[in-house]
Amino acid sequence: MSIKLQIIVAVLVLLMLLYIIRMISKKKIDIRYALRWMALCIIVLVFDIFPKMFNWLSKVIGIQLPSNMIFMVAIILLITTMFALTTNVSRISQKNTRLIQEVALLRDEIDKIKEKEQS
Amino acid sequence: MKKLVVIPAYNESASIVSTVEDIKQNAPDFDYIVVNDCSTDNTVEVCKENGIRCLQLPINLGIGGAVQTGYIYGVRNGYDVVVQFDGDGQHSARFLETMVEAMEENDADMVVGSRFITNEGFQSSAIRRLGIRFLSGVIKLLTGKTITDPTSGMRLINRNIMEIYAKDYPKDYPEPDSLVQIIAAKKKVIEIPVIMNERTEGVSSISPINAIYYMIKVTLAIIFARFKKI
Repeated sequence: MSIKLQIIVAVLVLLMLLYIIRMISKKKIDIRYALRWMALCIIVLVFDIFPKMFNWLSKVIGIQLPSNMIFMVAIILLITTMFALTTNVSRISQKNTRLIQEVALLRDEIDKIKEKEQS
Repeated sequence: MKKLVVIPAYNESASIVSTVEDIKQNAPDFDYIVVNDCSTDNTVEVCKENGIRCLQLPINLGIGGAVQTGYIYGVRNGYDVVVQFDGDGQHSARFLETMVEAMEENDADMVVGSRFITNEGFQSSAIRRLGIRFLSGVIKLLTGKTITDPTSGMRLINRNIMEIYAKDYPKDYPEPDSLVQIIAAKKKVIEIPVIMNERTEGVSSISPINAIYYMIKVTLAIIFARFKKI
């Protein structure tokens, strides 16, 4: 890996980290969801600074081509993230249903009270 | 005994008035509540003009969420029994009193109105009957109980089941798996024969394209419901 490429990757990762931190401070992303992205950035950064570690690790696991390990890790990360998102969406939609029902019931209560006041 | 009819309505402006009239005439002991599932037509206006009591969901939830709203309403307002009753003219109110009697006589927790005991009235299309028979078979296999009409939307439940459903009720195509959930919890479910009409207005929530999804989803849901803890 050339020093040029290492610097480009490092800059990109740092930009991403900065962006995530900005999103957290603006409260556009929950810290608990931001954590996994920050962890990812730091891991990429470590391997970028010490690329030999990466070769060593893929050899230990038994992957002949180090680039294949990147793909594998990336795919695993994507699948787990998507799964986490699916469960989140399900939970949010359940909560949403409850809220909608509560709004309908409260509206009815308000109507009843209004009717009582008028009569 | 306080008795409630829950009428889920999505774009039923053409039939909602006659449905409510039917209940007022043939089941006068029952209170009723229409749950308007955020209809895009003038169901709300029609209800207001005719003085029909109506819960208004601000966002469309689908049949399961709408009916569940009715059950929560029943729990909070102290009803002893609640019956679900379709707003599209398929159900006849003259069977409601019979269902309550059957519940009391048999000490049942749930009474289902079935089209397929006496096979009278509207019987649905052959392909649907095949699907219903399949679901019936799955339920028999999993619970050992024969339910001839597991997709029937005409169901009377007591307070106990109401409380269970108020907490947990399936979202779409809710009838078969909510039924199995109750049977699995060792509650007593009985069926009585009713006569249903062909819907006068509106379309079925199960279109041909949805049919395959429907069968897979419902079958899976039944299996999960069988082993669910409540």
